[in-house]
Amino acid sequence: MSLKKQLINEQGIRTDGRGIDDLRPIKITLGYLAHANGSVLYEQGKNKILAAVFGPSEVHPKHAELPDRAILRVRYRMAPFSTEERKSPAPTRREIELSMVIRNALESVVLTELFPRTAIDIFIEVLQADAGTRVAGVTAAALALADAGIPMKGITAGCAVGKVDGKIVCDLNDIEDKEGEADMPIVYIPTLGKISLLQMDGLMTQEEFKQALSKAINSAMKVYQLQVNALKTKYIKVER
Amino acid sequence: MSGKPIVVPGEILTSGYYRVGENTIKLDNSIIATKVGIPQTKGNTIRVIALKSFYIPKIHDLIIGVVSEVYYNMWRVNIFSPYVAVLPAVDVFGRRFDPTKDNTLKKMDAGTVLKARITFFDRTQDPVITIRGEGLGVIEKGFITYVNPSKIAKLIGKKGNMLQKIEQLTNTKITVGQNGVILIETQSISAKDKVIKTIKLIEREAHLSNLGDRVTKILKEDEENELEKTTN
Repeated sequence: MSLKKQLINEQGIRTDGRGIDDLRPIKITLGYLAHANGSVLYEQGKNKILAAVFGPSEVHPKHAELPDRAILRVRYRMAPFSTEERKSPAPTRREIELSMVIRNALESVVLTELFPRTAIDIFIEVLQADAGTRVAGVTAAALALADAGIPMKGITAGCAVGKVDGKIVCDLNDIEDKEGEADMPIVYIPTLGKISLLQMDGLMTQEEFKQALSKAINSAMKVYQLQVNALKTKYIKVER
Repeated sequence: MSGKPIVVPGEILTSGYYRVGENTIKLDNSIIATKVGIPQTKGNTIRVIALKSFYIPKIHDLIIGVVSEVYYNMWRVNIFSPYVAVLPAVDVFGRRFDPTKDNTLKKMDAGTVLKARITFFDRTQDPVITIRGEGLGVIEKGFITYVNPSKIAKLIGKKGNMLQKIEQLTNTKITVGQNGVILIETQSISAKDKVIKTIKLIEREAHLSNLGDRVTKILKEDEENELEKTTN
C-alpha cells in the first residue's frame, strides 16, 4: 500500500511554508548580460532563468525571412545541471516543443510587422529548475524584450496554478507539480486582458477550472507589477 | 536624483483625441506605449522617447558604417541596424563603372569605415547609401565608439550645444552618426578617453535632470586631475 504525501496541512500551509495563494519570492535583475541587446536573470523561488535577446537582425538562412514581418526565434533549454539528476545537454522533445509554445505566447505581443525581413532571437536558459519554468521563461523573455527596446503591445506575465490535495494553489513548486492532481500554466497580458498561453495537465472540474483561471490571472497580475517595477527602477537607479 | 515618469510597453498614455507619435500605437480608444521610455506631448501628438532602441534607417541620415562584404558591383555595409546597407559600385567609380575593368576589392576591402548618407530605404529593400557628398567618404583616422541611437538627440543637445561643449572642452572633433556610431578625431589618447567617458555618462543618465551640469562637471574634473598630475 502506498501512502500519499500530505502537501498542504490543516492550517493551509504548503511544504515550503507558503499559503495556497502565495507566490514564491521573485527577484529580477535586468541587463544581466553585457553582450546581449536585452537580458534578465529571473529568479522565482529555486527557479533561476537567464533570458537574452538579440536583434532585430538580418535573417540567416535567407529563405527563412518573411516579407511582411520579423520572425521570432525562441530557444528554451535546460542546463545539464538544472535538475536533480544530470540532464543530457541534447535538446529534448519537451524543450523543442516549449520553445514553440513560448514563441507563440510572445508573438501575440511583439510588433513584428514593424521590422519585416528581420529576426529576433530569444534565448531562455534554465539554470536551475523547480517547476513552472515555461511560464517563468515567458515572463523573463518579455522583460528581456522590453530591455532590448523591442516594441510590444504589452508585457506578458506568467504563473502556474494547480490542484494539490483537492485545493487550487498558485505557483506550484517541484513536489506539488509532481505529486499534485493538476497543473495549469498560464501566460496573461494584463494591459490587453488577454491570455496568450494556457495549458493543462491533470483533471479539474469546471468549477475548479474557473477558480484556477481566476487565481492564475490574479497571480499573473502580481508578477506583472514586479516586472513593471523592475523595468522602471532600472532607469531610476542609475549605477555609478 | 529626480527623473521624469517612465512608461513600459502596454501602459495606457491617454484615451483622448491625440495623434499617435513615435513608439506608441492606438488600441481600441487608447494610445499605449510600445517601448520603455518617457512620454512626451507636443501639440496633439503623443510620443514616447525610448530609453533603449536600435537604428532604423531614414533617408538623408548621416551614418558611419563598416564594409562587411565585397561584391563585384557593390559593397554591403554594416550600419549597426537590423538592415545591412548597400553601397553600389556606381556611386564610387562613377557612371563609367565597368565590372570587367574596375575592381571593387582593390577600392575598398571588408573592414573599411565609411561616413555615408542614406539615399533610399523603405523596409521592403535594403537601405542604399552614398559616399558622394561633402564630408562623406572613407574614414582614414580617428577613434570610433558607439552610443545607443535613442541617446543621439541628448548627445547633440539643443542646437548642438552639448556636442559643442564636449568638443571645446576636450579640443576634439566629433562626428555623430544617426546610427549611434561616433567618430572622435584627435591626436590625444587622454582626450579620446575623456570624450568616451562623457558619452557613456550621457548614455547612462540622459533621462535624468541636470545633464548639462553633470557633463561639464565630469569634463572639468578630469582637467583638474590632469593639472594636479602635472604639478606633482
